[in-house]
Amino acid sequence: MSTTQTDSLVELAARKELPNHQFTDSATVEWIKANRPDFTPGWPQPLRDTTKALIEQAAIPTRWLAEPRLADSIHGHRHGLRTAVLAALLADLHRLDESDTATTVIAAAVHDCQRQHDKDDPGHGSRAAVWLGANADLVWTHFHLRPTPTDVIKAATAVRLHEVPYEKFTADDRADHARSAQICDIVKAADALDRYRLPKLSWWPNSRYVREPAFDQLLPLAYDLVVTSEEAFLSGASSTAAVRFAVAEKGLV
Amino acid sequence: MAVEIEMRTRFDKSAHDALVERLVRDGEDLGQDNKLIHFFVLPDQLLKVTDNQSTGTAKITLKDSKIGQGAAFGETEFPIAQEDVPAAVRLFGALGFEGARHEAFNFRRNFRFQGVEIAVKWSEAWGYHAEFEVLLPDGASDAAKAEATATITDAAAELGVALMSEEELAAFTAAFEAEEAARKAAQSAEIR
Repeated sequence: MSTTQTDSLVELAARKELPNHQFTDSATVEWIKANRPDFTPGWPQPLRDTTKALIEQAAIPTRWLAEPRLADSIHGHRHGLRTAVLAALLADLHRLDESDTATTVIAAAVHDCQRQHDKDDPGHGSRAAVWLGANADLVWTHFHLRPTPTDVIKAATAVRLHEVPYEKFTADDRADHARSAQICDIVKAADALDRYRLPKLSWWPNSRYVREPAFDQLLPLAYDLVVTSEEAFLSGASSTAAVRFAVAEKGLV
Repeated sequence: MAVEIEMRTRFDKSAHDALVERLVRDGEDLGQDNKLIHFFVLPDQLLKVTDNQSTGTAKITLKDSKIGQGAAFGETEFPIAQEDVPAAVRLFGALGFEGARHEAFNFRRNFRFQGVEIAVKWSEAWGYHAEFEVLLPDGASDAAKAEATATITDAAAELGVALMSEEELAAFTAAFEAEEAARKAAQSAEIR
């Protein structure tokens, strides 16, 4: 399938013709803005200083990606960084300790790093979990931290299970999930919160698919992060700068 | 060589919003002016290739001083075509400046207030900040420079903005440059 994109993602999605590599466009962002849901006002608690420091480090290098062409795609750096920010907010909301908060943010930051393309790409979670296990020192050092074996297992489990719907968990999945349920649930919820970037309304965030009581509370923020950062990217900022700008605009750091 | 008198301040989101609100009300809004800037930080000079994304133009600028070494910057500047930005960046890199290069996207909105051009900006390195600027003609006297500095200081005071001292600017830019050097070293070590 061609990776050249001439029509908007919204048009391509409507025709079921989305290419392997999907890059946002002005028409799609305008469509997202025109379909702003009628949110109940909600606002997260301010982040802890230690969590803000994690967010500062949560943009990962492009050289960690299995497919560098995805760096600026809909599963690239902007999605990874927004997911890490949303995971950080949920971790603080649940008062996770500093170690588990770091594990959660790290898992969220790298959860899609071994994708080959922007479609379903089955197994990308497992591949990223294996990659994370093999590169744990590199990744934790990037966050100015040292990994423990327990941290790595928890993060890798969350990364592996992020793409597996709860109803499709095998017995092994359930056993793995039970050992780090809160981290897994937060990463899955953060990933789902960032679905406002997708070009079809039925793909947008839905609390049915997650186990996160605060999910609806974060929807307005998740939406605004998408709109502000996607517009910033289209105006010329790098993916990382675009999300950092959006995070600043929301007063999170 | 034209001379710019430039002074800066950094602030948080709420101070940024308050300043923009005040400038919209009492100043002249000159519009959005986002820029992708490629900096080459040389020992005593600053070379820039600027892609003016909001206006579709570009320019090359050499400043004869660095931030934190005084408010007066002698400036040599000329326009280039926007599509020539990558070639200009490659050219300066090939001349040996690649190690001194970093780039920054600036979200920027320009205003004029009491004779001062005020650029209200956000960038990754600086966060929310503003640049207060008065441009003087070639050969401006010391008295004219002092007068321009006073004009900026008065405008900032009227706006309730605390300008950074040269010491604060020097410390901030030194910390940023050290961080950049450490980041590049870590990246290089990882690749090896």
